[in-house]
Amino acid sequence: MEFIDYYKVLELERGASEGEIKKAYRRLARKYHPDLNPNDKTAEEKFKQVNEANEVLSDPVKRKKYDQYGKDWRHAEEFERAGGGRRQAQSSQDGRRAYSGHFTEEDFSDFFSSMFGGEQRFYQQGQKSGGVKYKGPDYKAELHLRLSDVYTTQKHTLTVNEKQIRITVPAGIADGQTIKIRGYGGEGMNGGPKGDLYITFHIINDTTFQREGDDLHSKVQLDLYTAVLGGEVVVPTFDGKVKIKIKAGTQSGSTIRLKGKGFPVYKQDGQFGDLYVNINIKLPENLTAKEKELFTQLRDLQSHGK
Amino acid sequence: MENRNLITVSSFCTYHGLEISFISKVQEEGLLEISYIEEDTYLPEDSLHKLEQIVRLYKELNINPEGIGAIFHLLEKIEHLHEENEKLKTRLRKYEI
Repeated sequence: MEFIDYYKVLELERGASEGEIKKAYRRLARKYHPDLNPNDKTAEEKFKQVNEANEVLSDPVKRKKYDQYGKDWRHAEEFERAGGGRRQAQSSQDGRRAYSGHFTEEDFSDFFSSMFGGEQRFYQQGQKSGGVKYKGPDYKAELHLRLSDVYTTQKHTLTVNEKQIRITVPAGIADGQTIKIRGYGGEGMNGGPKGDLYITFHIINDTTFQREGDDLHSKVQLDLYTAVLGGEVVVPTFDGKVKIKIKAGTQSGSTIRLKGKGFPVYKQDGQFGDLYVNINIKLPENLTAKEKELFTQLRDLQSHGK
Repeated sequence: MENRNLITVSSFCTYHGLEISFISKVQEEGLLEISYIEEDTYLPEDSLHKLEQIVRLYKELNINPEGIGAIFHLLEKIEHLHEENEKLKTRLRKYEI
């Protein structure tokens, strides 16, 4: 567990006034707030730190304890035992602003929990007037899959908050796509409905194909003779190999489109994108004397106007 | 006909400790759709996610509904640019095979 310099987190000097702390906190909270930085893990992490720093430095009791024992936090427990801390039972009732939508006490660092205990409830539950039903909080989760996994519809089991959830991931799901699983979020209040679960997919490409929407792109090397004279070449597709015809005089860098050999279209059974095969012509190397002679003949033929 | 779950605006405001006028301002900014049934005003359940985001920006960062409107507009733009950027990166990778 590392010491966290809360002053540094809020970019303040140790003797900062209450007003300066408030100002710094506001400024940094705006900068790193998760609603303003969607899908930005670094900002989210930074925001948690800023929030935690503010919880300590904006509370005179906690700040005093932190200033006294912060760098040597292990002694804080002795301080507690000596009766100096009085376990801040009032802290959950003081109505301080907090971040209901994002964080629970679990988001605070071990350093924080060790110094200030785990009994705080920093997030407000709002005014709980009896009898009204409220929807539970939404959960967010990430699922990392390989590109080869999402070529077909597959079932996956994931654990969210110690609960196992079996989901069907339709073929063709996109990288970064989020799906909502209704009713798999937190418990509702007063018998209200459960929240929802939002799963964001991260697709790792474990193939030699490049995916662009529903289309795939690949490269194939062609020997000079097939490119000049035409012929056939076998190219890999996502579900096997196909033989394609090469026209005589095929240029390097040209593209052949294989219709329907791309990636499955999300939630459109039987529909596929296209595969674009980019041709790269490999020139012969280490020519034999005979080959060199024949190439020279060819060049002469060209330069003398056939 | 598809059924939609609705939540009364007053329950939402009680829960979040908000004035009902806040919801009207958010609606005026075009950020929200409100249903009127007889005398009561309702919010569609599927708008809760966005509305809670709006409430967080309002309460936690002291941003007024006009500012939130501007933020949402910019966030949409960022998302669009992000998608565009991802597409271009994918295209570029084709030349790195």
